[in-house]
Amino acid sequence: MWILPFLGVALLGAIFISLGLGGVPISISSSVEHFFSYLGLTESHLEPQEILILEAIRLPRTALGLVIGMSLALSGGVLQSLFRNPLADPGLIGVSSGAALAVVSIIVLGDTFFASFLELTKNFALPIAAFVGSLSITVLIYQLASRGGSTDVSMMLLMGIAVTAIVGSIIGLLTYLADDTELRSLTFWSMGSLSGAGKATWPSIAIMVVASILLLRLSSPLNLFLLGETEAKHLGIRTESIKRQAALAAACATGAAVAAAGMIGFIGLIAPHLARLIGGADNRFVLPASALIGALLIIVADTIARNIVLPAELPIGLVTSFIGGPFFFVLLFREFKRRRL
Amino acid sequence: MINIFVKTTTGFIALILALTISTQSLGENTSPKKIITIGGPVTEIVFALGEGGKIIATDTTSKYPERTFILPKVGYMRQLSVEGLLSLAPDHIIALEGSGPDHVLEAIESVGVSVTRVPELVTPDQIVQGIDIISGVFNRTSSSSSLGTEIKEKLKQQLKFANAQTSRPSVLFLLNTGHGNLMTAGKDTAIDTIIRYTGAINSAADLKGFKPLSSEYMVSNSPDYILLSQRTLDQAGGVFELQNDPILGQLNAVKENRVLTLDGTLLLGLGPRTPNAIQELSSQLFKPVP
Repeated sequence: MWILPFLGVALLGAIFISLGLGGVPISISSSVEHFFSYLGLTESHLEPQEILILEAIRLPRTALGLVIGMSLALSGGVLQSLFRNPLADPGLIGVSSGAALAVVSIIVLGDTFFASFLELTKNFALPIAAFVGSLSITVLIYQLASRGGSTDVSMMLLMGIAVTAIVGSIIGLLTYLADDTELRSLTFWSMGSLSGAGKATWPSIAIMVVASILLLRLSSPLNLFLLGETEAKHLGIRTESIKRQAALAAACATGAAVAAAGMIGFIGLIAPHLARLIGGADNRFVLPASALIGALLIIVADTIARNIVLPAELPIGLVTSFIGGPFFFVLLFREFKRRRL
Repeated sequence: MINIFVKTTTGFIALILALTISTQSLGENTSPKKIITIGGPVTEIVFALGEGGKIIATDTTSKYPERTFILPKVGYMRQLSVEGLLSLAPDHIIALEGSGPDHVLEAIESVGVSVTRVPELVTPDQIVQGIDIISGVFNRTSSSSSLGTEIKEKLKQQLKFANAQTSRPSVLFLLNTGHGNLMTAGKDTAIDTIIRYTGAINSAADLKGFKPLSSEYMVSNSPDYILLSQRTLDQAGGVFELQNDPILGQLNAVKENRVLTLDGTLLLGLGPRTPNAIQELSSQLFKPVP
């Protein structure tokens, strides 16, 4: 299998390009030189201010992008296998709507109803709210779809749609109450940005790393899930436990990603599909490959978002869907033609 | 002949040297030279103080004076980017409260660029306060206080004039016309302040902030005057088109051509031009008897 190492090398290249590109001109070669100087391989020729920009601004941002890309792609891949539905993404089990509801509540009602919470959490208020919101809506949907200790996967999808619709209407109501400043904050939050990367995002990163490892470990049992739930059960898989683990880990991974960077659409959907188009449907390949592809996509998208409208910055969610959409379309079309031949 | 030439050249060089040294020492006196202003009112105040030439970039909410159109834009005031700002190499950033995100401004400060934060300008008193803070950046307390007191004095006069009015006409502001929900400005907006300082009543004072308005409510509470920005009226195609509008045409204010207009940049936030906005509106409302 040469694809995974190849993807790894491509990701490494993207990381160095993203570290070397930005508003303040620092050449890619000298930034690579700087980072290798820690290994004693080269000497750094950078000014102290340039080092500060590289290490305090660009490095945390690229690291956050890496972890978020992996988490979103893994969650998407796992849920697609679990639901045996190519359109599944974390939004279906209420992650995005739960996070959005919590964030809207904090932004709009924060000063009136959650003053003590804001006082206590300060900069962490929105991340904590997003994480708790996404997790609790997922648990709610899971509970609604469970009867007598077993969870019906198709019921979970439908419950997800119903709950999302209700939550959506509450979000609409809160949006109506919001003033124009709050509306701008909401709009930007819903388009995502990695610019918050720094100390405040460390807790999210830790959660995402743990959840990603959990998701990766599900690859073998999920392969049997592709045959059908009953078949998987007969083959000795503890299906209930797998379902619970998958839903919970995906909710944690995506919830933490949304907490750190707002909503970044499309990665959870496109990365696993790309992985499958490249190397087939075996989850032992699809999951690690989509993690690498997800990270690669986010890092490339963020590099574009940071540089294309300097001195301003685009929300990353715009870039992921603007570039990802047509790209995905081309791939699908090629696959379609191949099947007809 | 040569002697004279040598003398003038040395004199000239000495002059240049003296000039460079003096400008250098001025620079050490920490009056910033490359400023980025964030927030429309802040930009306006810097220009009103006569320091607009030092602005190297602004945000997208800064739309007055016209010179701001040719300045680079660092994006929306609440969505700034650390590297974007630093790439312009500013030596000072003046930001209206609410600019950010916070971590961006903190990162800018950690790199050694000073950031001055100006409290939001919601009440007329805060305009004066904002002017004082911003002129502190330029070490120009004397001229600033003259601009500050001038505005304070004007506002006091206008409030006196407003209180002396015997009639209290009601004014309804409309952000848009035509299709979709009509939006109006309630309490806690610059428009509400401007209307109140003329002596009129904001017809939408029951609402808070910018809110969609029920058209039935509007027709049943028919206001004495409609206030639009000049741009909105132009887009609608003039008062005649408003009279043909199925809903707005029902209003007596529209039927009888009591439609007031102001420049849009005057209406959306308080700033050094607020007294002018009040003046302009007041003169349209209370026409001096011919």
